Amino acid sequence: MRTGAIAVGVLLLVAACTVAFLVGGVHLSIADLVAGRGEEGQTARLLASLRAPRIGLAALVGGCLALAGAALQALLKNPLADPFLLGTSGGAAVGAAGAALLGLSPLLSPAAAFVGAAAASLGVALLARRGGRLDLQRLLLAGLIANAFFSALLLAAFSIASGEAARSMLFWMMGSLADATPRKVAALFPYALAGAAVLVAAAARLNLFSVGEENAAALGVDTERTKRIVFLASSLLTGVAVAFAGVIGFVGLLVPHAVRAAFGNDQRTLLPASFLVGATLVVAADAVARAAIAPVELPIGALTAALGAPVFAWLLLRTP
Amino acid sequence: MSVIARQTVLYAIASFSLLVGCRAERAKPADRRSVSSPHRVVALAPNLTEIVFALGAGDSLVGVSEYSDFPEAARRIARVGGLEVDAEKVAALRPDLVLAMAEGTARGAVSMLQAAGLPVAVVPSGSLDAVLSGIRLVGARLGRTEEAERLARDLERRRADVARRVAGRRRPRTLLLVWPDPPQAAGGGTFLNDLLREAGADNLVADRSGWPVLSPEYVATVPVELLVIPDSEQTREAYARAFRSGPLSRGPVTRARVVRLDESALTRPGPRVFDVLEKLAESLS
Repeated sequence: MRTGAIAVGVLLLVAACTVAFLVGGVHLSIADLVAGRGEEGQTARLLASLRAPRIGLAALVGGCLALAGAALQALLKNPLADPFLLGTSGGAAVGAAGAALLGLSPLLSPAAAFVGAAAASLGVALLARRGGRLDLQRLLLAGLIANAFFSALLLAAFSIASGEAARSMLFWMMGSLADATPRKVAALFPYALAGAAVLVAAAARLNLFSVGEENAAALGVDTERTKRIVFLASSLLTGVAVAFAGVIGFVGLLVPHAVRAAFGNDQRTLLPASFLVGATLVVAADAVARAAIAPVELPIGALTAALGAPVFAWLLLRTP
Repeated sequence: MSVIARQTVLYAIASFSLLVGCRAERAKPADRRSVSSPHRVVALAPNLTEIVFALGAGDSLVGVSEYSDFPEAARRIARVGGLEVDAEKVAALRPDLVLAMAEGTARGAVSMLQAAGLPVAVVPSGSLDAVLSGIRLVGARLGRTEEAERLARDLERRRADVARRVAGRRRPRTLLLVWPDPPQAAGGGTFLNDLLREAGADNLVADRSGWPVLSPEYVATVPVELLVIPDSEQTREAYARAFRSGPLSRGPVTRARVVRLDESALTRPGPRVFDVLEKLAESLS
């Protein structure tokens, strides 16, 4: 099952990357790319050098968000958990935007986003606690409150920022992969790898959470430590994704559900497969964003939200 | 978050179109009620301030928008807000005429002022024709119909001269970028699209209405020959960065001819846009 799921994920991702490489507002001819001389060859190589890093960034960002969502859902035993809905993305955006507003180096923006994301997750988790347990309703309400608060902060920052800074606020609010560079992909990669490794390593322990915390503890899991690790790792993944691509919502909600429906609820399968399918989804969504109304681009955050909100509604109707 | 984000985006787009000079619908027929010439005028956009000064009525201005910096005398007039107009500040100036643009973020404040019974003239700006009828409209409301007619005729004559000079010339494929990164262009249905066409340039995004934000791929591959950009202290660094390492650093656009035009004259649909028209036509000859 596990190898099967991962093989399917890899195949989907490769297919999405190939299609995404070939579509866009401007036609890319493979013949010109491989053997083109003169202007045609130059144009094809230029397009390739713009599209390849963008696809790479889309894949990493999508993978991080979906994996963070899958891990949070397992930890909270809540199918509606998602870094976007729980305010983690909003906290990350406020962190990154705040760093930009203070004139800090762009190199610090992932760190600032991580701090924002971790603070948001922690705050939401504390708000949602009741008698030492996370309460489902309170969790969603706390996420709602956190999002409203972060939106307010971003809007306030947006109205005092001018020119360049205001534009970067918009970037964090709407999500965009438009300024992907090989350097950004390389910078995101180690964070994504570290966060993903920690979560996948915790997959077996997360499985035991599904039978309840007390039972997991009885089976020898250090539950508090696992909770902390999973919270921090998913905050890290969300934080860096937001720092590099702004807020792209609902990926962390949609993808784990699709994967669970297809391959079951074993976290050892679910987590790596969610990463691959999340990468696939954002790569595909970005291809649509680039090609749909070219030469103008759709904001990718709006696209994933338009897809995600109806699915959320459907899940809500099905949840008893 | 998403609802608020969407509102923010709309707000930003609206703000930006106001910044670059407002896209507007056609002129409403001028309100021809006879008014004794107003002497407490508030202009809610920098191009409106310029029109009032050009008609020789600068003395009657008691309030202007934040960005009104031309002519020099406009800097000394009280400010009533920038992208967001402060309706109460405007009302406190007890104006007998408020000049507003047909579109932009000031609309809310404008309808408040109208509802409060203040005389508001809404001035169009979505084309060069609209700029001229806007001048005539402002002139009529200021009781300076003759001055406005003289100014508009003069601008029309200069416009016709330009048309004669550029007739039959080859039209370079052109982009006018009002912002470099992400690249935002003047599209169809804007006064800057008219400006490009009448100066003898072929706007590559004339079929996109408004102010489209262009994708990096498009900008890197479009066979552009002429790049028209606004020039000012505030924009110079952003364009320099875009040429160095941003969207203007690769592909045919790096070989395009670049014409820099004074930002405040280029992006405001006022009388000076006809200076820019002559200058651009000149530099293309």
